Amino acid sequence: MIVDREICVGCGACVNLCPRLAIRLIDDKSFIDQVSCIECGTCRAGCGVDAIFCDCRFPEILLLNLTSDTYGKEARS
Amino acid sequence: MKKIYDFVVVGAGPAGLMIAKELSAARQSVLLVDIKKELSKVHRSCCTMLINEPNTHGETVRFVDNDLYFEKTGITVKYGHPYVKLVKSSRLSTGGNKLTMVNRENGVALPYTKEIILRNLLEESLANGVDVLTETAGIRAENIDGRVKVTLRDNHTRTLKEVWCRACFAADGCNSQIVTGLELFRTRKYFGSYRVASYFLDEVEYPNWDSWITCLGKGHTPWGKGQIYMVPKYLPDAKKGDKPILDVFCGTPCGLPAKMGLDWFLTEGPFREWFHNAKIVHKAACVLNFYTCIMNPVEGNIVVVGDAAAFIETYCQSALMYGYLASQAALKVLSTGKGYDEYTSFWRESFEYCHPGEIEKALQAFGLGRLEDEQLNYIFSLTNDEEYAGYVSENTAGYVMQKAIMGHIDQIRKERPEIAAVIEQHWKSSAEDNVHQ
Repeated sequence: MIVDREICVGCGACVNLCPRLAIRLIDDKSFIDQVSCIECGTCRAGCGVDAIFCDCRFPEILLLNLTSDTYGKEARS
Repeated sequence: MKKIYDFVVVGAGPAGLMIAKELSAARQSVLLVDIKKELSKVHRSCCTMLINEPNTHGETVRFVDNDLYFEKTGITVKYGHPYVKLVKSSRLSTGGNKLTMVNRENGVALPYTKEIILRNLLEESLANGVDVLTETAGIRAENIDGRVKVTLRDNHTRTLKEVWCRACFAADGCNSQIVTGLELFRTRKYFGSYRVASYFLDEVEYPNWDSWITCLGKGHTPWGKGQIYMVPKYLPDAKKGDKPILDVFCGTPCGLPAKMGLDWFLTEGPFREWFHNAKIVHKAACVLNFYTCIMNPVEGNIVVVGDAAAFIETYCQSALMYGYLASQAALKVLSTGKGYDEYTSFWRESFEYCHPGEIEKALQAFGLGRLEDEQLNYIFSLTNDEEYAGYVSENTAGYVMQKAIMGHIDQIRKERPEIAAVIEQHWKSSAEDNVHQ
């Protein structure tokens, strides 16, 4: 999850919603720690001004998992 | 910052600042912690109205010499800024028909500026020598060997700090982080979440400057869900003679974007012509988690105060009062070893939502949303020219509305029997709930 800091009003709602404590207020605007974020979307569902959006890293990882075929290679050899 | 304090207060809202001010005035060492950078700035949506209905949360508050005066507690909170006197509280249907409650003498509610209250309290606390940690989150509080260990996290560096104290106050609001880590959190029931967006609008062509407006009906938002509220109030930098601005709120159940609803209401809603030239001067938002009250807000030496222990909110004024009472209880505990029992029993008695059935009653006030817009327009066309005595109040306004509409029930039965059936069904269920109490 990523915060658009131009839109964020700094109400702090997402800070206490985050189940991973990944969100902090920096200069009274929300900031999401990308290492801790698990892309659950809880913050986005709570944001009153729609400042949080998903720049999801998981589809890429998923795609990698789907296309790579390490087991197949092993099985064939 | 020291390692050991007498008291640690998490959250610098009205409750937290009141506690910090009172305890520091009694020469205790106090640490005040908040996640914000500028403590007096308000970024959260908040009506901030003085609910002047007598006996709200067991207390009657009014303005005396431009300061807030609490009659029963006997305290005065410094204000000294313009406030608005609203004489009407209206329910507005999409067609522009109203059901209006009036109190011309005292007003139905008095919107004031929260920022001024916070600023004054902060000044007094700092003068008393309170240590303030801004941009720091209170993560956890634990009772260990008769003392409390509070874990704090710096917003910038993300490092954890520990502070020890005799007692910790969780005044970090309705989404309290401290409370979620306490054993007493297990006693709470969760209802749902609400998200809110609000704009402060200037240059509005608005006919209701003397009213608190609640928009009822499905046509106010694009999805037919959610509420719109409008309240005039003064900006923190307003001077005498300035015009108030209009605070417009949109609240929606979580999952629906509140801001989209608000934008739609202003540009495409049934009252869009009021907002043709409107300028946004401030934006705020919040998320509200609806939990049942914490019936016993003290766990060891951790005291939960204000919104953190409440169903929805205690209002700004009662947060000040509960903050004051909690600080007095803590001082009493210091000298005698006992004192929190009194605070707990006062909380249970005075906060209406602690009483069984009150939450259901308040939630039922939303029940008129079951009616279609055209039906609501019809009902409110009957009440349009009438005025009912009342206040802006969750606890009594529902009853006034019920009486007002039931006063016309014979006419509704004759003209629109299908509406009468829905209304009677709605109020009947509330009557049954009342019997259960």
